[in-house]
Amino acid sequence: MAAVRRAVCVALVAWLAVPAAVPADPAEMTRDEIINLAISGVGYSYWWGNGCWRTDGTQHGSCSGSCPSCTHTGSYGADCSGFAAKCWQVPSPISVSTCAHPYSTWHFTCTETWWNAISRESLQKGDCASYRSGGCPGSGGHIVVWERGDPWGSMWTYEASGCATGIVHQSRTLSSSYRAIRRVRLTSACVPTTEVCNGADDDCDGAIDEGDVCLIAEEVLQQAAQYDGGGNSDIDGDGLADVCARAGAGWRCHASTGAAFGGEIAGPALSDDSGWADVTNYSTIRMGDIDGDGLADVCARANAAFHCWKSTGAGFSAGIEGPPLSDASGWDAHPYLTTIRLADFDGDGRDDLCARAAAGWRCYPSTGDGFAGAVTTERMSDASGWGHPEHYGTIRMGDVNGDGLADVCARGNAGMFCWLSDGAGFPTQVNGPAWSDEAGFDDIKYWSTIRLADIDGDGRDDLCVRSASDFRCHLSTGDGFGGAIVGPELSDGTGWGDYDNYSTIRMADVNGDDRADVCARANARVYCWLSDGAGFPTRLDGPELSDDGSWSEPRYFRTIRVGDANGDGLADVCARGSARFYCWLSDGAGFPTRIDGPEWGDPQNWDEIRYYTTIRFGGPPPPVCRPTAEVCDGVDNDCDGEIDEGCNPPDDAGTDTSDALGPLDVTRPETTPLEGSGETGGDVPIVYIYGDDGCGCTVPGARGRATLLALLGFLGLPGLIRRRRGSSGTGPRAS
Amino acid sequence: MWKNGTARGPRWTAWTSALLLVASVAAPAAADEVPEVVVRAAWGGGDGELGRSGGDESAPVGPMSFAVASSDEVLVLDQVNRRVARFDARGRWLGAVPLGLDTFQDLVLAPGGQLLLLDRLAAQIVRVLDAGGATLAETRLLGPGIEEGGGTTALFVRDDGVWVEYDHRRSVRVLDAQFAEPFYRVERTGRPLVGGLQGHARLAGPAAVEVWTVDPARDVIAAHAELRYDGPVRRIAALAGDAQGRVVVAAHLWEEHPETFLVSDERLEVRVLEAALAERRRFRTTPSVGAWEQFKEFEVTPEGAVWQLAFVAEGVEVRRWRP
Repeated sequence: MAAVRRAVCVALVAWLAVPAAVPADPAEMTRDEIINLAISGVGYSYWWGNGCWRTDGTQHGSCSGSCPSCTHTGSYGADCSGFAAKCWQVPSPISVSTCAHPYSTWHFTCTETWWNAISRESLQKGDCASYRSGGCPGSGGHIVVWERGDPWGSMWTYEASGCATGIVHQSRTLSSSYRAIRRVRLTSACVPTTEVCNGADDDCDGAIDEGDVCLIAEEVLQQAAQYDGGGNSDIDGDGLADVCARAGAGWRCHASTGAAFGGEIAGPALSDDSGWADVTNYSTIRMGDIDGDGLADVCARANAAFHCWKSTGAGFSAGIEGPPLSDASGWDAHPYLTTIRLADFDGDGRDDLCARAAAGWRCYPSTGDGFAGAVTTERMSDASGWGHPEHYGTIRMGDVNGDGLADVCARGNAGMFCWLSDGAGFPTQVNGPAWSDEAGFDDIKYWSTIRLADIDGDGRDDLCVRSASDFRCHLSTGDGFGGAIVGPELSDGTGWGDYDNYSTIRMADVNGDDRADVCARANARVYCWLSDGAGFPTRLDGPELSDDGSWSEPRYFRTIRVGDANGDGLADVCARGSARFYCWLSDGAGFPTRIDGPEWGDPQNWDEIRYYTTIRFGGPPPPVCRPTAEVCDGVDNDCDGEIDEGCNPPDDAGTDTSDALGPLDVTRPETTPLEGSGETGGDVPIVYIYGDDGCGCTVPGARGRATLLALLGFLGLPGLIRRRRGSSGTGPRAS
Repeated sequence: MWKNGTARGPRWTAWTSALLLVASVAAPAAADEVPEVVVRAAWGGGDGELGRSGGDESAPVGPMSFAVASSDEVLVLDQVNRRVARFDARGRWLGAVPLGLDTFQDLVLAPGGQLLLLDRLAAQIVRVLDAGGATLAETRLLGPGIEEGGGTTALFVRDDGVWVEYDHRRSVRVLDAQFAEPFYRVERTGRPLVGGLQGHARLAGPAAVEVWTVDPARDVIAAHAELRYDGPVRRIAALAGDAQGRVVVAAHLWEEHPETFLVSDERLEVRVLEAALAERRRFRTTPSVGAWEQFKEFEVTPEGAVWQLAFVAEGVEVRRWRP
């Protein structure tokens, strides 16, 4: 009982120690108004039992001694509860310069007058946290105005901390003794969520769609198809990249002849009339070879399911219904639909369907005529924080360890991670460059430029990005990444932080040395910087897609593509201008020759985003080699660039480990390229295209495809390839 | 041992000390390891005591930080008493280094025995003292990389100089190895660990902490792990490394009743990770009682001992878990 009496007595003293709270109504106010009042108080002195300051930041006053028996000098200052009451404007509106102290921490902690207790995890900007020593009524306490949390769970607060420090803004910890409280009559019933591009103030800060949210949304939607190199648009398998796009009436392609583009080839009816003008559908159009016949097919997400249409070389087959990536199951949301990729993760020569679902990354293996059940992983799930564009928008697929299987990489909070495919899943994590949020890579002008490309020709894709200071790459070692190789100075300071510049970064081998180079549109023209494996020392002038020529308009610069239009093994630069689609052919030292493509001009309405962003031009893809143990068979089984190394020919007991076969010895049935089935047995490597050095794949030192194709032509292999395709039942090839 | 002196604050008898000893053994009941309590100091301002202040309509503060010398001498930032209190490896009072201010919030010990002190709110400086308390150097916090003194979250001394962490996100070198102003301020993400790596941590959902290290020379992630907990992690209390490359993460957890918001099952969980961030060891300990603010709660010495500065009702304990 004595304890109770003591508690009551303390409570009474506490109550009497402060002016009686006037029964008045606080006005409605916003969280920002609370914070703005708090900001205005920073720097003012601690004044025990009071609460007032000026908004002009003058006459701070001072405090000395140890409170409550401290000495205050001046006319302004506050203690913690006086400061909080003034920031909250309770019990009623009052000028901050009018001294008042209506409540103590006892009120804030032990009563609910104009505030209510809330959970700690629901603290928001402008809420408070208060405590009372010994609980209620207690014998003293403290209160802070909460602004935000930090990565550690520490809290940024405004508070009248004490005599020595006054009113401060600081990062600090709050023990579990503090109780979270929220003022009543906050103006907005708005519940803050992440701001997205929807014409609403999602984060309740008074601004609508502020920041880059709309740019981000559009970037990821419209550019995702370009992030992995633009895919493969060689619909007739002739080694020349063709160009396709969705017109109002449906899918249309034009086959490249090397010197021009042929007539229109009609594809599936992805027409406006059938609903394909919906961005959640047309933005998912992807091209790849889902049946391994060497012809690029087209796939896209309809409202109910994913569909593919296989190329016949002269057209497209009837649709194949794939996995039900439906609107009904949420696949019309950006965090999922923008992550759709076609890539061969299981190494069977057929591109598979991969995408990020809410539950994580998944791939549906292609069977050639459909898709098998998903291989699922919890990696990149919403629950682990991947539902934000600065993360899911960085998903890239490529072959990080050179095993011929497509791996997946993406940027988490900490930086880049890759997960290596073993053909049945993605069990192995490889840590990549530290492109973290903390380092600023959560800014679209950096993360959207992340690329996977093999810049040193070792068969392993490397990670590249534009940073604030330059374009840089980290070479893959197969199980990690090396230090940064600094490339061209595509810095913010030199203007590369502009969207119409950085968003045009493309990587492809423009000089045929099997190393990916980097190209991008500056204000004056496109430039390409050639990789030498250790840097990008040589710059080539590309097409003059200048600002003055209106190429800073999205309807033009967003259509910049790279691919090999003439099959010479050198990537060319193409784009849609106001009149038509063009390609500028690389000769390894520049882009002197322009060829005209389809007449997709502005007058034909191709300046509408629903059409021009669907232009697909890329590839053909580089040869793929899947390493197996090296055996004495005249083939580079382990894809290391050497053939039969360590193998002594029977008639040579010496140490000659060079290939026993010359460049013409390419007809090995077990490695015949472009098998439709993609099936293979034993340890025979799957080799899709021969190198002219006798290597069954492209490896360091392998030469370009021009020589290769010439060689194939010389040997009459195209006929053999055609026969094999025919026998695989994938339809006739255009001839 | 707890000191019975003449200064203010509660006094402990031998039997209460004994009870505390039992309590300190029993407190981390869920823990698999019992700490040694190296220092026990009662609240107060006398020899062997440590001060606390505030809490009467102001922020209650206890000793804000501490450091451990290679000899296991314990130095406690007893800023309320404007001093650094020194205790030997057995917890015996050695004396104090006087400070001119009561607003220092962090303390680290340089290899040469110099004391480095951080005042982030009032003077907004880093000050370097010799072992006797004479000022050797001083630099202002505000400048490139540090927008607000209140945003600094830790102080470190490494071979290449003195670093200040900002917002638990990045670090800024504010003094060079000779405690002189550097020609320019180097910034890195994370906080410096022994061995040149930068350590990072963040809350990753309600019951997880993401930890990673970065090799700044290559700018690549050296190791990465997501630590899972069996309850809500409210905050990260420590991230530090030892000379063997091990990384120590301390997380503060408690349950909150969904309606009354009452707190229960409060604990600190310490995990020791290998350099690859695979878990090597874990233990629990009790957090400080009350609302007395402290700035640094854990210290990890180069050989891997984990130390905790903890407030209990009667005073301060400095606990140690050997490697």
